Amino acid sequence: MSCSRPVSWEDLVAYWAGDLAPADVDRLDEHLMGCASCSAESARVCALASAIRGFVPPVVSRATLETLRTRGLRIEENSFAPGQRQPVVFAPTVDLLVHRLGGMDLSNATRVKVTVSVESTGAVLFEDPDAPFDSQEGVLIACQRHFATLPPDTVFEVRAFEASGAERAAVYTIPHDFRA
Amino acid sequence: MIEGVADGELVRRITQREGAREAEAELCRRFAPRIRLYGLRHLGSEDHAADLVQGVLLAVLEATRAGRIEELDHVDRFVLGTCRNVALRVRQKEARMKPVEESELDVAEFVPNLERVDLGALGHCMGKLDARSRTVLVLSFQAESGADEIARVTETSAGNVRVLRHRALAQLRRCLEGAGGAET
Repeated sequence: MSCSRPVSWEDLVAYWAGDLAPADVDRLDEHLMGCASCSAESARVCALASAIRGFVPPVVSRATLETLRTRGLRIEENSFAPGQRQPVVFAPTVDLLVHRLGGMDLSNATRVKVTVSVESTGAVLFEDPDAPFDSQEGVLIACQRHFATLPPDTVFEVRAFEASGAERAAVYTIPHDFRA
Repeated sequence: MIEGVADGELVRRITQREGAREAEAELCRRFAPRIRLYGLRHLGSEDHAADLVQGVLLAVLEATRAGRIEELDHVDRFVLGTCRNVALRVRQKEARMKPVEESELDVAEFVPNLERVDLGALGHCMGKLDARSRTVLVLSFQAESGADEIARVTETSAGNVRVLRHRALAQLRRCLEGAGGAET
């Protein structure tokens, strides 16, 4: 199963992103229908594109959260203050458990970095060096059911950077209990 | 081995009733995944893509049995033409596809599972992308924004958005393969 004129990765990505001229789409459709190997590669791009379509980032903006709510996701929100250690239960009736990490003065922040680590080991699970934030509300963590595969004792560090060079940081410890 | 038989020979065997059952099954196995991809790309939903596979395969088999495929070696052109016609009907909602008996054509048998991406691995790998690349991917595939619009948001050129997009998707793919994040 090989092709003498394989479709480039760039063209396949543009095809699935809806970023080709109609004539190019027609041309690609014709090639893909007759070519098993290019069709298999196209299926891989399709799988990635559809996974991204359903992807909810671990740190979300309020606007993203409201979009997800309108899509029908069951969302529960809770709030945390800097330094707080508060366990949470991810109930089976919830799709998204949103932690509002507040209590920081982010009014002069130009960038916020969020680091998620494991309390017991210190291992870093996730870093977003340029996370969405709201100067009033703080940072919104979108905890998702598939996070149940991660260690449950999680620590969230929010580090704010200001134009003056000043930095401020806050830590929130949130052990998770994922109920089946 | 029927897997190595050319498309045109499969069509001939179906038309001539020579091992037609096996040839029909192979033709379906060959084209069902491609028809499904066409449906996903042009109709945008799994349900419509599944309906398309059903409708197109039936039409192709009927045409083949009746000897109506003119270019034996280019049955793919006939399949694509049928895809376009059926997809157009679906889009225009002018007609529902002909209902069929389940026993008549078990499409699921011919459509392998699409590669499934593990969500945990996806989150991990998306986190490894730089912020701009991540934004470009999310805007491209989630918000379905065009390159010009993404270029405005990310303060770069549309050409650069296209480069960022295919490089980021390639990086994501490598990361997922490394993380064992893709399951078939």
